[in-house]
Amino acid sequence: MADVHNEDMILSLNAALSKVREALDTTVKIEQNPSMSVSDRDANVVIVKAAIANATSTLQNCRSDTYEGAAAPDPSITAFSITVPGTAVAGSGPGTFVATVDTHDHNGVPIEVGTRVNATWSSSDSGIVSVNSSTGSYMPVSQGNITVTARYTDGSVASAPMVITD
Amino acid sequence: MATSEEVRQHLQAFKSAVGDAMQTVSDYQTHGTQYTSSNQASERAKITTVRASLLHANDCSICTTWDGS
Repeated sequence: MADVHNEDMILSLNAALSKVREALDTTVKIEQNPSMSVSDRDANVVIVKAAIANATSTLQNCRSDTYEGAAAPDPSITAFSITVPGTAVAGSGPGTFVATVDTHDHNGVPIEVGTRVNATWSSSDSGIVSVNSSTGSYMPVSQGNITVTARYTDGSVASAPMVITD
Repeated sequence: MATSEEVRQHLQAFKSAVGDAMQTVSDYQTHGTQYTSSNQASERAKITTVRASLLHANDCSICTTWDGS
């Protein structure tokens, strides 16, 4: 079972509290309006009971028994990937390699997909493709095949082939 | 049958209890690292038992018997 952190409990309790408030406000509305029609009153009673059922369900599923009493860990990276053009022409204009990560939270719920990040870039042969290691900006220099490699700050590595033609 | 006043008081108590639990979590979030270990344990216990202490019975004799009158 996933650990429950402060943020999770605040969300659950806030949701439950919101429903209890709704039930209470609706009850007071009925109480303060004795001339309310029977159909309106019945409709509001249904709202109160539904709101309480919702609050109950939220508390039932809040998993407070596994509450950690701590902030949630930082999001984890599930995938580090790079975008490299498969081919380029020698002497053509510069381009930029792109690195992205996918992240999920401590409960495995995806947070971001394809978020662009900085990485450290290298070319297996800088005589064929030169690359700026920090920006990913590259220049196809001469014909040949190379492998482009990127390393992310967490140690993840991704690589892709690239063919340079005349 | 529960009266409107009974239901209102009952819901007010429920709301207050949920609010207290949320305040405890909020305090823990802000000051948790400054607590002594025994305080941490007691504060955390308030939350780990929240479900049992606040759980509103599905067959609650007050809410379910209220007809709005």
